[in-house]
Amino acid sequence: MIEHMKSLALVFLVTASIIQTLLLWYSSPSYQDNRITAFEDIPQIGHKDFKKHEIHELAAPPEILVHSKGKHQRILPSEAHQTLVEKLHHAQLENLNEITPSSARWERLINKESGLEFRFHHELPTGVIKGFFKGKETIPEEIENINRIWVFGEGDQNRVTIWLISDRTQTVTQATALIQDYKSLLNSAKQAGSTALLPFYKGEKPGLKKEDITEETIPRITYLPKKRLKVPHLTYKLEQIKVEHMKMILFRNPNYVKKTELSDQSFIYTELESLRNLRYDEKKKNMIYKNTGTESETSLPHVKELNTINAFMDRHNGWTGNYLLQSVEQDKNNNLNNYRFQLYVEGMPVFGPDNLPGFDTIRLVASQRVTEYERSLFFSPSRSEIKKPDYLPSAEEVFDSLKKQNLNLSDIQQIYPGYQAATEKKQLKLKPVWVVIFDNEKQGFLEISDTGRGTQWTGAKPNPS
Amino acid sequence: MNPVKWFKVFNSVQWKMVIIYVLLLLIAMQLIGVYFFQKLEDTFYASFENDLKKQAKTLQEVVKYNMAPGTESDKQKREIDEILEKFPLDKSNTVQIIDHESIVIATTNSENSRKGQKNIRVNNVLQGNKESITEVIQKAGNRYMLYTYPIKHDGEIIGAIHMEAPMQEMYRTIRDINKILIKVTVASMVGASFLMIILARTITNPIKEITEQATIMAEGNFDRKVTVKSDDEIGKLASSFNHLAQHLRNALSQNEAEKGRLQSVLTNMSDGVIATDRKGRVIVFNRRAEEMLNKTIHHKEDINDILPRSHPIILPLTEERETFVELDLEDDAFTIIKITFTPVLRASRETIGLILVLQDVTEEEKLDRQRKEFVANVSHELRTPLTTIKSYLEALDEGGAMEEPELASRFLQVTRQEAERMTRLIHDLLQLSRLDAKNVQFHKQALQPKEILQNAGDRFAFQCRQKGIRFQLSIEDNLSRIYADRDQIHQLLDNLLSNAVKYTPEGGCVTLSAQQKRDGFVEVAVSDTGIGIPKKDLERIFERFYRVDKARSRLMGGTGLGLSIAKEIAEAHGGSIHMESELEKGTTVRFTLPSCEPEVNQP
Repeated sequence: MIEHMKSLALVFLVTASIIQTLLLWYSSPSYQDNRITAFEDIPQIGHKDFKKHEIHELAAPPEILVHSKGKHQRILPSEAHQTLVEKLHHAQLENLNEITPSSARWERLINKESGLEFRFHHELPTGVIKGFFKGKETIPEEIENINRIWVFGEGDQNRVTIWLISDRTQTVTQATALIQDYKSLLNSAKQAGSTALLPFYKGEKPGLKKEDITEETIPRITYLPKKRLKVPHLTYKLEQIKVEHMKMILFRNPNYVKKTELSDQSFIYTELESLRNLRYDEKKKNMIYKNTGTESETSLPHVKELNTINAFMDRHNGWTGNYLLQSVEQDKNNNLNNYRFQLYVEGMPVFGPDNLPGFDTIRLVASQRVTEYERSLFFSPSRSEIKKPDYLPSAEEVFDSLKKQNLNLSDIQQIYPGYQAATEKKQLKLKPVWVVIFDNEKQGFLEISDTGRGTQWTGAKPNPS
Repeated sequence: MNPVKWFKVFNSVQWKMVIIYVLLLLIAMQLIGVYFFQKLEDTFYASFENDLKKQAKTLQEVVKYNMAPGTESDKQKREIDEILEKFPLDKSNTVQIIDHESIVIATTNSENSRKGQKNIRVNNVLQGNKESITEVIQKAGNRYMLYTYPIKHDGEIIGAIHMEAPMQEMYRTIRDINKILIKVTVASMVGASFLMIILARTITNPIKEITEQATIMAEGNFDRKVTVKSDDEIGKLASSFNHLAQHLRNALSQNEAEKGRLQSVLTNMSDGVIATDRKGRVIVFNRRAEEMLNKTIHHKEDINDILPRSHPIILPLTEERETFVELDLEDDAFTIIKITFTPVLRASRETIGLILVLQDVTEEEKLDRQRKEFVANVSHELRTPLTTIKSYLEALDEGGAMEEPELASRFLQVTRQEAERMTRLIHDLLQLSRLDAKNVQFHKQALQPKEILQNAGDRFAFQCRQKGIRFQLSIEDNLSRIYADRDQIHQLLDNLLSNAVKYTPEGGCVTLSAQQKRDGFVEVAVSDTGIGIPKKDLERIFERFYRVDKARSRLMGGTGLGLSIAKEIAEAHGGSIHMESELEKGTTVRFTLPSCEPEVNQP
C-alpha cells in the first residue's frame, strides 16, 4: 500500500512539475482590456470662422457710430468693425475719472468733433467692459454698467479721450488712451461707414442744438437714414444639430448617459457620475444643459467667466454663427451670471423666429465651469442661399409710424437695424427691420410693408406702455 | 535501447532519486521564480508607477497655472504645449493634458491628433472619485501603463494629466533577469543533478554491491565480502551484510554438517526412510529404503509407484498410519516391512509432506511365529506322552490289562517311558528357559577337553556297539584347556552324540573329534554317517522343536530341544555351533569353545 502511495506521489510530482512549467511558460502579466474606446472625437457643430479668439471679440459692441464733425455713419459688425474693436481693445485706459460734461460739450462732441461711438444694445457690466480693454486700469466701481464708449480727440500723438457712458446712472467716466494711428483709423472708419445718418434727439427734425440738451443729462441720439436703407432679405437653409452630438459634447462619458422621457417629445439625458443633465425638447428643438456638479460659491470675474464660456464653446465650435454678447443678467439667488449671446447675420442682430425659441440667442451660465447652456438645435449655415434686395424704412417712415402710434423719441431707448427671422419650409427667412427698444425694455420691429409702401410693426405692440 | 530497457534503467533507485531531486529542485525554483518575479514585477511596477506619478505631479504643478478656470485660451494651450515640449519628460512617454471636460488640450508631439478629443479614461479622476488611475493596457503587442493624475487649482480639480508609458523596457529588464535566473536554475540543476548522481551512486553502489553479493550468495558462494567504505548507515549495512554472510556461512556449515549427519543417520539407519512432498513425490530417501524395497528410488518419483501396494495412498494424509507389506524374495524367502506414514503438518494443520519409515519386521514375525510354534510344540510334546499315559492308565484301570501281567507290565513300562520322556522334555525346557534367562549358574573352570571328550566317548561307546555303529574318537594332542562348566559341556556332547547315534543306521560311523583352531578356540566336531539333513532344514535345525522328520524324531525319543540346548550352551560359553550335513550321507556338528589361556597361533 505505501509503495503505491509512493508511486502516486512520484507521478503527482512529475505531473505537477510539468503542469507548473507549462503554466509558467504560457502565463503572462495581466492587463486591462483595451477594447473600450478611450478617446471620443467631439463633434464640431459650427464653423470655425465664427470662433472667437478673445473675449473682446465676443463682448464687442455691435454698433459703431462714426461721428465726423456733424456727419454720422454706422458701422455694423464687419471687417472694419473688427478693426475698430481691435484698436479699442488695445487702448490702455489712463487717468480715469468721472466727469459731468456740459450740454455745450455734448453739442460740440456730436456736431463738431470727430469720434467713434461704440454702442452696446444692452448695457453691460463694467466687469465685461474691463475685459474689452486690454489694460489693467481699474474702472471705478460706482459704474456698474456701460452702454456706450465714446472715443474722440484730435489724436495728437495718438492720444485720445474715451468716455465710458452709463445711460442708467447718467454718468460719464473719462479716460485717456493711446490708439495707434488714430487719425488714419478714423479715416478708415469714415470710409467704411454706412451712408450718412441723421441724428434725432427730441423730435423728427434731425440735428442737435445746445439748447435741447438738458444740463447734466446724457443725450441719447437716434441715428436714422434719410432714405430707405438698402439691406438684403436673406434666406437660409436650416440645419439641425443632432442631440446625440450634444451628448458627445456635453457629457464626459457619453457611453454612460441615461435617456429618460419626461413628457411628450421631451427627454432628459443624465450622467449620474458627474451630475450633468441635458433636457431636450424635440418639438421646439432646443436644449438646456446643466452641470450641477460644479457649482462654486465663489464667482469669477466676468472676464474669466466669459473666457470659460468661450473656451467651452470653442471645444465644439458652438458658435454656429456670429454671436455677440447681448446681456448679462445676474441671478442673485445663485450668485451666477446668465450670459446671453445674440446671433448677428450680416452685422445685424437676428430676432425670432417665434416658433423656434432660443434660435436667436444662446444662453450660458458659467462660474468655474459652464453650468448652463441653452440653445436651439437649429442653426443656419454661414452662407445665405438666397439674397433678395430689401430695405429698411427711412427716418421719415419711422417717424410716421411712431406718430401713428402716438409715440415720440422720448419713449424709445434705441433704434437699430436688425433681422426678424421666420421659418418657412425648413428655411429661415431674415427680413430687415428697425429694432425699436422702448424704455420698458420691450422691443418692436418696424419693417417695410409687404407691399413695399409704408411700414408695418411686428413684435411688441407699438404702444408698450 | 528499447523502452523496456529504458524503463529498467530509470526504475532504479539511483535514477528515481535523481529524478525526484531534480523535479523537487525544479518545482522549488519555479515557486521561488514565481514569487521572485511577482515581487520583482510588483517592485518594477510600483517604481514605474511612482516615476510616472512624480512626473505627473511635477507637471501638474507647472501647468495648473495655465489651466486656472476662466483663463482658457489658445495662447494658454500653446503655452502648455511649450511646457510639454520643454519639460524633462521621458520622450518615450505620451503625455496628455486634459481639461475638466475630459478633452485633450495639449499633448506631446507624438499624439497631436488626440487634441480636442475626449479621453474617457480620466473621468474618475476628474470627478474626484479616484486620487489617480493606473491601468495597464495591451496595444500593438506591447504593454503600456496609463497613469492619470488630477490637476488641481485651489483644491479644485481643473483637469488631469494622462500619461501613457511603454513598459517594454521594464519587461525587457524583467526578462533579462528572468533569463539570468533561468540560466542559473539550469546550471544549478545540471550541477545538482550531477552531484545527485554522485550522491545517489554513493548510496546505491553499496546497495548494488550488496545485491550482487546477495545474488552470489543465493548461488551458494559465501566467501566474498562487501567492501565497507564508510561508517555511515550504508557502511553499517555493508558490515551487517558481511556479518550476516558470515553467520549464514556458519549456519550453512552447521546445516551441512547436520545434513551430513542426518544423511549419515539416514544412510545407516536400519529402517528405511522416504520423505515426499505434499503431492507424494520423493524428495529424500535412504539407501536402506531401496534395499528393503529392493528397487531403485528416484527423486520426484511418485510414492505410489515405489510402494508395492494394491491400493495407492490417497494424499494428503492427515493422520499417522501404519501398514505392512510383504515382499516375496527368491528362494521362497519373504520380507515383511512395516511402513509408518507420518504426515508433515504446518501449524495450520496443512499437510506439506509425508515421511515414510520402513521397518523390516521379518525377524519379529519369524520370532513370533517361532514363539507360537514353540508353544504349540510344547503343548503338543507334553500332550502326546500325557495322552499315552492317560490311555494306558485308563486301560489298566479298566482291568483288562491287569489280568495279563505281562501286558500290564508293558503298559506300565510304556507309561513309565512316556513319563520319563515328559520329564526329559520338562527338564530340557527348564534348562532352555534358564539358559534364555541367563539364570544358569555356570561353574566354569579350566578343563582338559581331551578328558571331557574321552568321557563322552566312553559313555556312548557301548550304545554304538549295541547299535552296530562304529565310534571313533579323534583328539589332537596339543589341545589347550578350555574354560567351561564340565556338566554343561557333558550335556552338550551328550545331546550331539545321542543325535548322531540315533540317526546313524547300523554299520555307520560316529566320530568325535577335536582340534585347536588358530583363533585359540577349540573346535569339537561330532560327525556321523547317518541319514543327513536336507539343506533347507539346516538353517532352522537349531530352532526349538524343529524336526526334520517329526514322527521319526518322536519315535526315537527326542524332545526336539537337544540341538537348541547345545547351541545355547555353546554360545553361553562364548563359542559357536554350526551344522554341516548332506542328505543320506551324514551330518557333522561343530562347536567351538574358548581356550582357558587363549593362544593365537600366528600363521
